[in-house]
Amino acid sequence: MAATELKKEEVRQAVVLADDFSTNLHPMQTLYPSALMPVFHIPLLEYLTETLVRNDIQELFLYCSNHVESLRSYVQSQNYKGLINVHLIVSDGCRSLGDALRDIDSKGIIRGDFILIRGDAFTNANLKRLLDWHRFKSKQDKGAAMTLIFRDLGSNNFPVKENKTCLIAADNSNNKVLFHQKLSEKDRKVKLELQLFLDHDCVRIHSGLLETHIYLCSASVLPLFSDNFDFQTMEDFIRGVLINEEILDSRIYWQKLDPEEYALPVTSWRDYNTLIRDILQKRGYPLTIEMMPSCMYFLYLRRCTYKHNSSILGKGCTLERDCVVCPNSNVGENTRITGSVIGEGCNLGNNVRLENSYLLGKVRIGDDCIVKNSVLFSGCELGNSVEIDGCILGPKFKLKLESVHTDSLMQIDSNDCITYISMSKAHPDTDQELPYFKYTCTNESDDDSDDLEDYSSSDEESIAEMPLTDDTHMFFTEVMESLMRGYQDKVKCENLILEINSSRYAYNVTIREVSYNVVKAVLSLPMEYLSNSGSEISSKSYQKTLKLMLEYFDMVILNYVKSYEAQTDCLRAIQDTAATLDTVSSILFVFKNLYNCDILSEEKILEWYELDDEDNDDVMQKQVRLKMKKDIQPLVRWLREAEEDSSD
Amino acid sequence: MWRQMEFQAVVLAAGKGSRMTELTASRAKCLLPIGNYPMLYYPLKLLARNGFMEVIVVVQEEWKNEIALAIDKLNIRLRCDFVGIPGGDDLGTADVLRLIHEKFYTDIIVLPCDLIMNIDLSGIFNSYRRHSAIIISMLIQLPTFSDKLINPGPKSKPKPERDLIGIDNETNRLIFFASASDFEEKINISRKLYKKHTNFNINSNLLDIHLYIIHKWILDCLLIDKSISSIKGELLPYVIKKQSAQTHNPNKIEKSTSIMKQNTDRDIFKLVTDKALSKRKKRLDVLISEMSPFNDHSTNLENAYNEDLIKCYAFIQNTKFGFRANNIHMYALANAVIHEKWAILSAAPTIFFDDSMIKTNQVENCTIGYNASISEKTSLKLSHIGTSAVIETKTRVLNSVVMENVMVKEGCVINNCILCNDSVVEEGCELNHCIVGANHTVPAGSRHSDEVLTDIGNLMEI
Amino acid sequence: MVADVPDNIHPSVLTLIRDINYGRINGSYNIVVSTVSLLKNIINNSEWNTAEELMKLIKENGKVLIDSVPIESSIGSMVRRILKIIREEYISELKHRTEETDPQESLHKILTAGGDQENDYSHSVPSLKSALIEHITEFQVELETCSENITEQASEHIHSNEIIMTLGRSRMVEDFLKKATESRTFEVIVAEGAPFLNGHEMAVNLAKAKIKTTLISDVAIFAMMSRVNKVIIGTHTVMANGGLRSITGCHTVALAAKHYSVPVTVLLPLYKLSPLYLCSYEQDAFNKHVSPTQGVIDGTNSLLMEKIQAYNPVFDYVPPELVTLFVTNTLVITLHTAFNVWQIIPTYFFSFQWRKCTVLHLQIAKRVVPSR
Repeated sequence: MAATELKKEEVRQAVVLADDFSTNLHPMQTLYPSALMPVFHIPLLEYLTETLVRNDIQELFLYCSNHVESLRSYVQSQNYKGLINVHLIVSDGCRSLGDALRDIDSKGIIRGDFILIRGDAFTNANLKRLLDWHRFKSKQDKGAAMTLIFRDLGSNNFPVKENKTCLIAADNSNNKVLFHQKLSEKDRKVKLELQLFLDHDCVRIHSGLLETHIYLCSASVLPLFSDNFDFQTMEDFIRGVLINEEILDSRIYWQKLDPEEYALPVTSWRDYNTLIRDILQKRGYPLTIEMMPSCMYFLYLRRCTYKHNSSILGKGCTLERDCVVCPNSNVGENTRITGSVIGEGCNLGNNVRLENSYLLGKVRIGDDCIVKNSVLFSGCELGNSVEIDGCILGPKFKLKLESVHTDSLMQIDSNDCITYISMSKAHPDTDQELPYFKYTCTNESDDDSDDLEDYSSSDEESIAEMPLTDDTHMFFTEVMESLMRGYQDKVKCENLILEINSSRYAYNVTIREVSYNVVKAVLSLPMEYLSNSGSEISSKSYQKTLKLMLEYFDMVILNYVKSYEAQTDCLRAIQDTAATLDTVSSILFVFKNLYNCDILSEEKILEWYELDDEDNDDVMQKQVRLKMKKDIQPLVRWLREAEEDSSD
Repeated sequence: MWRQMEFQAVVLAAGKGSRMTELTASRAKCLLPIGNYPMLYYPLKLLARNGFMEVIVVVQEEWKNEIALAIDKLNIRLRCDFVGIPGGDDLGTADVLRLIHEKFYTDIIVLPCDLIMNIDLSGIFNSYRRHSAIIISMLIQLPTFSDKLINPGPKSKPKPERDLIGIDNETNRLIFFASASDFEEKINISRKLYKKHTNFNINSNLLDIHLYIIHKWILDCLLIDKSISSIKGELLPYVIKKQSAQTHNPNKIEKSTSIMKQNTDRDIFKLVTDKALSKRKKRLDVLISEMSPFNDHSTNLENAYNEDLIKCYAFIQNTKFGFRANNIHMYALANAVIHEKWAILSAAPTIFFDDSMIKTNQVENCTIGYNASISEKTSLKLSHIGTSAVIETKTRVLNSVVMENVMVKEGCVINNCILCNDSVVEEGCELNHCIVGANHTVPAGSRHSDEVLTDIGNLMEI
Repeated sequence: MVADVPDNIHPSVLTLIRDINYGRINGSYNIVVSTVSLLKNIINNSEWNTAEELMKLIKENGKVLIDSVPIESSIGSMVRRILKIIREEYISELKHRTEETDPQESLHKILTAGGDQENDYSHSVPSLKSALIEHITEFQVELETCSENITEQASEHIHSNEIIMTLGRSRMVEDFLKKATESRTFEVIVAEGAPFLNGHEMAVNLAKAKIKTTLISDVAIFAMMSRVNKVIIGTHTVMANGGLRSITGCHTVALAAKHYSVPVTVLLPLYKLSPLYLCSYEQDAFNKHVSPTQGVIDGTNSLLMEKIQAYNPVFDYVPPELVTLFVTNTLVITLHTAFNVWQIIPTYFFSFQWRKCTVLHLQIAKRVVPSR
């Protein structure tokens, strides 16, 4: 009896969530659960089970919430005998990963450590090694709840809008995750607690990591989800555990895949494209087409092309590179195919040009068609001489002769109506452009310019850094940005002050430098603003915007220009920006306004005016001063008069 | 015959020992004894062992002769060029280099005078040569303090200042260097940094031992930019930050400067870089690096060294023994452990001088200086007795440092103390964990523990 | 998981396929041994009455095996060999003739013995089963001694003070050299065999056996070849025309050897013979490609991965004219091997009426080799 119990302890279990709840493969996710997404002619799940079987995982729990019937029939069609025990867990109305795990917890089927895999994951990793590592860790540390698995991409410098890499900070000695953040283009920096570094001798900061959607979990993970109802996504969980490490008594560790191993979660069309390319280039070995048990009789031709024995290629037909022709397909004469997958039972006419497209099965394409960067779901039909580029055609969609379409999503909705949505609006929930793999393909030729763009996008950062990487200048640029954004988005001045203060601490700038730079920034801002909005820069427009801005930032400036000394800095700033102001002849205007706003006191202005800087040898400086003095003469005169009046 | 050397060695021994003022009141820091050698002996010996023939030793002008004399006696096969600097001003390490820059004709290796370790420097030299680094800093593991050791003087928990040192895991580039006390709560890692270095460690357990190899043109920069006064505090962080400055693409600079008319000439560093660049451009190594497929990193598509001109590296020296005796605690520690470490330092201790008058046989693990007189019925253990010191009968000395001309009278117990030169301990004293200042006389029969005993006036001078 | 297999397939066939595919059984020898014992098991435990039925059964199972593991052609060889044994035994049993059971002579007999063609296999012969089992056991013994038979010839091929070059690690070559060192002193240069670098292990093992060993990188093969006396390599398969399918780098070695007129000796246990040809257009299908990150490029450099197309083939095809000598467990096949390999193949696998090894076989053999 004891022996059997011991054995039960050793059973390797995996939970696969058939739905990922976060994929962005419209309209794929409405047709298939993530796990059944067709990759070539077999579903993604099949690759996953293959990996699980290779790693001696004995039990697989497939959690389904949508498309239950298709999952059930798929599982029934497979022969898992002697390989792995597959159990379906069916639940309706589950909307998030957190819900799913809570549900699994309530069912009480999981004992001990298990591997949690989201349905959109593809991997050939050695899960056994990872699981053993996790078990070893949880023996050392009873609170080890989870081991996150990352793939090191080596760089996070992808010219891609959606960057999925993340940054972690972890204790170097035991791989304990201390900090985790998804990186986005917007982040300028990552803020870490100082205490983190003092508590740990050596903290590894690793960016350029890709989440693999594979998690090695201890049994305590499920109760954690149940206890904390606000954990909806995996990010919630990680954040929650890291913040409340003490309270929850749980810790998260991380492991990196070997450089030889491969993993990619398919969350967008771009990933889908990458995955297929990578599988064809054997990155996923041994999960390659010829090695998959259900993919017998594929013939490997050169340049990563495969053809099934039962498919027929017409005369003069060329498979250029990265292609797969699945069973029972016919390809007509003189057809050229590159970077495409022709699913099961497709029929291609003569002289068809197929580029970077995926035909998901039973697609019929007439003669002389040109299909580029498109996805055609099963049952689509294209008449002769159709040209499409960057389109997604829903199931059973038919295009007539000689029609031409670009960048649109076409499908037949539930009322048998045909809907056309242009790509930019295709995403149902947000108005974001549908990130589609086409862009990588079209950008391939001008990659260099792409790189340049990438640099220029971070230009504001570089401007300050390139000529002088001084902290002060970094600070100045940040202030400029904050103010500009604040002005455009009408952010409250209090918040702007907070923001500037935080930049100040970040760059360790003295308070005097702060007042100097803030004033300088305010004065330079109208120029930026005008040039950004494309309007003409004249003294009039400058003065107008400056007035508006001074009114708006009144509080900010007042906050920093309080003391007498600060006023000196303020004047210094005016002097230094004089060259710019000069072009729009607004020095007097500036002085006037600052005086009106009670930023500059009259004594200060007069003092400055009267101050003779003999000791300054810089001829340029002198000239500037002279010119400024001349400009503000009217104001000075007026001030003096006022003074005399009051003294009378 | 004058020979062009690859590196010039500089030992900075002009420090006043501001962290151990009690000891340095009347004596140069670099002459404080560790074992029975002055502190300065160790870095000089290290250089000599690594094949240096000559060295520039920077000392305070007022101590110059005395130090020269003391070093002369030690018989190190090294030609020392003692350079005195006026002691009045408070000069930082970089200031000192600036002051004596005429002496430099090539890259330099800088050592502090309080470095007690024995290592093979070829590792750091090779690392410097291989990457044609601009500055390379040697780091060691922060020494761990055993709790047993109580340092003399007022009780204080030794809390070393911690530096946060970021080192790229793939290339060993030094990419982040700051003192932990510079930050309040948060540390920002800029995007630029984590984009360029995807995998780096920030260490808080490494100690910068102030051993640097510095490229010649950094010295030139120092001449121009007078605001930098110390190597560790200012120069190093500055240079590290400069690493990411992109100087190789003039177009970009133009583009950026045109937007805001910032006067670029304020950045002296950049000018010098450009100058150095134009000089280097013609050099063969630049041509080679352009043509060679060599790359120091493999995880992105950037060229070797990301085309950085300024390259700072860290060299982590694995050593069982080594530290800087730059405060009282470390100084005491150095003296306490040096007995076991002679072999590692490969220095021969002179345990007894023939003519020192030792009349007791209860001497264990001690170093006893020239002409010291030790009476009968004394017990010495793990201690260092300086030249001409007198220890009278029935006295026990444990774990202590007794400097020159110290007089310990009859029946004293000295445990874990530092007795500075010319001090006197009268009869029947019992001192535990104390520091006795120079020329101070401890009255008879007094008992002290965890105290600094010194003439107050003496301290005030500093 | 193994989809679309006929129902009558023996479950242990599927297990074997899985074991091979999942790398639990590796190395040609182990695969061969397990295949033979599997087939023996099928003969033993299945229900059949006539030789015809049995052959059908073996063919069905064999086909699934071959198709599932196309790269291991020795499996096919074994299936064919078993079929041959069945035919032979059937005929001899039918004639109530008892076979002599000297295993040493069995291959000799194969070479000389012939059978009648156009046999009718539909008669039920009760004693066939036991005769078959006996014969197969005999064959298994032959397989077991195979490697021994080859290594025993070591001293005939390696002479004193010679410098031998080899590439990567082959267990057969390792044993061969170790055997030779018992009677001779010689020196071995091991090319590391990038990207799998098995040569490192090989060099260590040889050095442990007190052989003077030098490990070189693959780029140095040509430079070192001038001082080499003999190249000894193993192989994965020998194609019907005498060409080799052996680990990457072998072609380089063979070409360098050709340039310096260094003899290339290939150690070939006969089960590695394959009746298959390499057609030029099937170069890629003939090979096995693994992930380029396994030694070719760094897997963490995903930016690079996106831009380039990298291949990592496991095997090289070495054309027959570059091979000087095959050392097999029964005989040594010398220069102009194309003809000679032809000669054994039929006798090894088929029981048609080839009688003597003559040049005539060339014509016949062309007919026999099935295309994929």
